Amino acid sequence: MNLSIMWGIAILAIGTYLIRIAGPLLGKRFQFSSGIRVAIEEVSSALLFTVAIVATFYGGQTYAGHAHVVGVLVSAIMAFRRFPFIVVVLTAAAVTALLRFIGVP
Amino acid sequence: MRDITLVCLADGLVGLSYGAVSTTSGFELWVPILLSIFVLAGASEFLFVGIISSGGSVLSAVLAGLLVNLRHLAFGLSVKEFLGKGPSTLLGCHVMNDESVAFAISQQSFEEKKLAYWTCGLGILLIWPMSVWAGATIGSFVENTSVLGLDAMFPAIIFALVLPGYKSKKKVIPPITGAFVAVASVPFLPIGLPHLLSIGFVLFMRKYS
Repeated sequence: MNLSIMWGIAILAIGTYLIRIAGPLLGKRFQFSSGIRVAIEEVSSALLFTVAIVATFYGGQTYAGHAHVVGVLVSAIMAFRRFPFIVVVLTAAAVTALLRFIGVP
Repeated sequence: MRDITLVCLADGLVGLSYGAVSTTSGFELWVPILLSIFVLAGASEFLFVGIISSGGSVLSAVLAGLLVNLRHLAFGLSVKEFLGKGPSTLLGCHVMNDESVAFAISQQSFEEKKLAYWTCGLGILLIWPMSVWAGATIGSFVENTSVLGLDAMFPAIIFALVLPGYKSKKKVIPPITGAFVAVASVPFLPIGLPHLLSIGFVLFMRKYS
């Protein structure tokens, strides 16, 4: 099992690096117009956003729990209202911890 | 610069809890440490450790990790100007992650973008493995990181980075809709695919709006 985990880590690491370097390599061969560049930045933002929203509701493929969802959503609203970064992040943890403390799953 | 320091510290806290969760769910110390140094992409590391610890095969853990990391393909296209020339490009690619890309995009001038990318990228390259190592080491002492709500910090960090960049409500609609399509499809699709679905959706909305 340890050996297969080590192979798994190696393949994930190499594969991830190839994905990372593919963008710059392709980018050197193809010149993009500014419109496509803006589109790529928008898609990047949208992807980050999706990762965050999926992580709001799910831990892996199971529901993350009410406390987790509420904590993250409160922080998301604060982020949109431009509260300082550290306040947003600590609020997510604090609200979630508080809700769990009072028995919310 | 202050925000980058805070992000590195916040990632340090996430790394601490991730390291701790890894060892408390039965992995040996070297698993999260090797992942944190050589993969250096939190979401795929969580997936890798999470899938194997919940009984999935190593192969499915690798595939899920790679699927989630496919977003770096788009990242690479949007940050390629900041990577520099020669050998530094090789390191520059390795420090490409959600946070460094988000900081680069959020700056105004080219020089600021490049500085933000490298400062955040190298900071995380330093902080992430160190905090994961520390977390994994103390993991045997921490009973339950969820009591402290530390798991809620990961999505909150991304929201805190991405949401202030949306200046009008109208611009938030396509990514929000795409994200909810992704959330709705999570129970039915393999991990990683929902994210790709949302990209397709955002591009579709862009074309027809």
